[in-house]
Amino acid sequence: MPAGPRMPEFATEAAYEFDRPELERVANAFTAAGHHVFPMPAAPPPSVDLAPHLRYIRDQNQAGGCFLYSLLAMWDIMNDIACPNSPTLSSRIGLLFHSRCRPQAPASDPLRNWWLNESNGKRWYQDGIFTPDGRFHPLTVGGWGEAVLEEGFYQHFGNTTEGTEITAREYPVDWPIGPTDKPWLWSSLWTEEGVNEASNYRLGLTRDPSTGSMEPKLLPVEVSSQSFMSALAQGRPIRVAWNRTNWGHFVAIVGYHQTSGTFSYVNSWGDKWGSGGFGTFSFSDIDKKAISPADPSPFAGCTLTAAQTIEIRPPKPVPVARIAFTHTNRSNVHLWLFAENSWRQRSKIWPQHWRENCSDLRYTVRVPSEFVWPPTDGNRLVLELYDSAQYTGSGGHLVEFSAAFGDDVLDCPMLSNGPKSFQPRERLQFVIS
Amino acid sequence: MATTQTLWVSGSNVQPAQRGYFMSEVRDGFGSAFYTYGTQWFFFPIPTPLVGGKAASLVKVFLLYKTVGTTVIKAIHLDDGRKKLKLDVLTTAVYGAHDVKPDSMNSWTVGPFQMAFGLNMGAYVDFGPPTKQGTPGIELVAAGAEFQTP
Repeated sequence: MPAGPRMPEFATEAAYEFDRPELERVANAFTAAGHHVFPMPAAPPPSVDLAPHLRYIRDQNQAGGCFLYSLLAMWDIMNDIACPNSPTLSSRIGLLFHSRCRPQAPASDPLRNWWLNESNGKRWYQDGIFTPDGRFHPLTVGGWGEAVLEEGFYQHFGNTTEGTEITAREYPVDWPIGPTDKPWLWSSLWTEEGVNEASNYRLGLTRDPSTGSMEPKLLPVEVSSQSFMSALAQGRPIRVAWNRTNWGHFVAIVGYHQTSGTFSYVNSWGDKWGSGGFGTFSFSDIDKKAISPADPSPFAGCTLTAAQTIEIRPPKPVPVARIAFTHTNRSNVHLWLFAENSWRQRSKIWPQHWRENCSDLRYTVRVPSEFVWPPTDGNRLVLELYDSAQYTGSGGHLVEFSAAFGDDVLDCPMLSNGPKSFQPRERLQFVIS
Repeated sequence: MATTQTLWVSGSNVQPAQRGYFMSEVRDGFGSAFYTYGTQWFFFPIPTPLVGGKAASLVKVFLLYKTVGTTVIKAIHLDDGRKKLKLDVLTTAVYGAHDVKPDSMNSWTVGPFQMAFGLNMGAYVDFGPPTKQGTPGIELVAAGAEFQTP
C-alpha cells in the first residue's frame, strides 16, 4: 500500500468529503445551552496566533459590513487550517443578501428603496431570496451579523470565493446606490463559476438550545479571557461585537499572548490600519466586557455585547493560485488569471473595488475551471499584472505566484530569484508550466 | 453449446459520479485520467449481449488502470439495471500499474450472474488527502466483462 496519508492538524477524517453526517454530529458535540465554554487543553499554550492562516486583509471601505468581514476572516482561517490552500472567501454574495433583507432599514435607505421600488416588480425580494439552486431563503428577523445566517444561506447554499465574482467596474453604471455611496461593495451578480463552487464552502449548523434542533446559527462563546483562550487554542477565532451609543463594530479575535496579557484581532479597515490591519485587546478588556472611554483605540467607551464563533464544513481541496504583491496601494494593480489557450474570456480577479486603505495583497483564488491540473505545455497558468498608477506611482513587487492543489505546490519559475519588481503602467505576464 | 465472449469499452467512456473544478479530468487516446483528492465513484457502462433473445451470464470483469500517488481502488460494484449484482468484487484495495493486460490485480471472476439490461461497473477510488508528493490521480484505460451466452 502507499504510505499513509498525512492529516492536517485540524481535520477530521471527513475533511475531504462533502456533507458527511459525522460533521453534523461534531457540530452537536460543540454546542450546549447558552454560551459554550470550549474545554481548555490540558496544557494551554502560552500563546496562539492564527493570523498566519489569514492571507487576505479586508477593507470595508467605510461602508459597513464589519459583521460579515469579521465572519469571513474567521472562516478563512478555519478553512486554511482544515484544508490548506483554500481560496479566499468573497463577501459579495453575503452583502448582497444582507442588503436584500433590510425591510427594517429606514425609508431613506437608498439600497432598501432600490430593492423595493426599482427592481421592476420583482416583488419576491420582499419575502426572501432565491438562490440559483432553486432554494428559497425566507426573510426572517435577523440582527446585524446574523441576517445571512438566519436564512441558512451560508449553510444550505454556501459561499463564493474571491476571483469568481464580477469585479466592480464590470457592473452597470446605474447599479443601485449603496450605503455611503459604495455600491460596488454591496451589490453582486451570480456567476457560473461562483455558483458551481459555493457548495464547497458551507457553514455547519449548530444546535438551538431551546428546541434542540439543528439551526443556522452562530455559536456563542462565553465572554471571558479563559474561554477565549480555550477556543483559540482549538483553532477557533472569535468574532466580538463592541457597542457604544450610535456606534458598533465587529472584529475577529485571532490569537492571544499570555505574557503580554493581550488578544490580537483582525480588523476590516485595511492593512494600513493598526499593525498591518491587526490590533489588540487586553485580557482585562475582555473580562470586564468594557473598554475605558479614555482608551486611545476606536473602541473607547464600548461594551462587549456578543462573542461568537462558527462551525465550518471542511472544504475539499481545489486547484488555486496563490498571489502576493507589495505596493503602496494595492488598488493600483490589476490582475487577470487564465489558462493558456483558453477559449474563455480572461478572468479579472483584482481589484474587487477601489480606494482601499491597503498596501499589499495576499490572495488565494481558484484557477479557471477550464484549467486542467497539473500545468503542462499548452495548458499553462498565466497571471497578467498591470499597475495602473491610478492612486500612487510607486510600483511594487510580485512576491508570490504559485499554483497549489492541496499540498501540491508549483511555484512560478520567474520568481525563483526573488520578488519581481514592476513599474507604474507596466504590464507583465507570469507563467506556471 | 455455451460460448464465451468478452466485451471491452475504452476508458474514455468512464463517468465520474461528480464533476467539478475540484477534479482534473483529461481524455486521451489511452482513456481518461483524473486528478483530485478524497473519494470518488467512477462508472463504466458495459455493453451486455442478448443472443437470440437469451440472456448472457456475467462470469468475469476487468478494469485496466494505473494509480498515481496515494490513490487506491477500494471497491468495485456491479449493477444490472436496478439490480445489484455484487456489492464488492474486491477483497482488498488495489493500486499500481495494471493498465496493459489482464492480471490478478485487475480481473476478477464473479457470478455467474444472468444479465438483463446492461452491466454498470462502479469503481470506488480513494485518492487520499493532500500530500506534498504531488496530486494523486488515476488513469482508467479500459473496462471489460466476460459473458457466457447459452
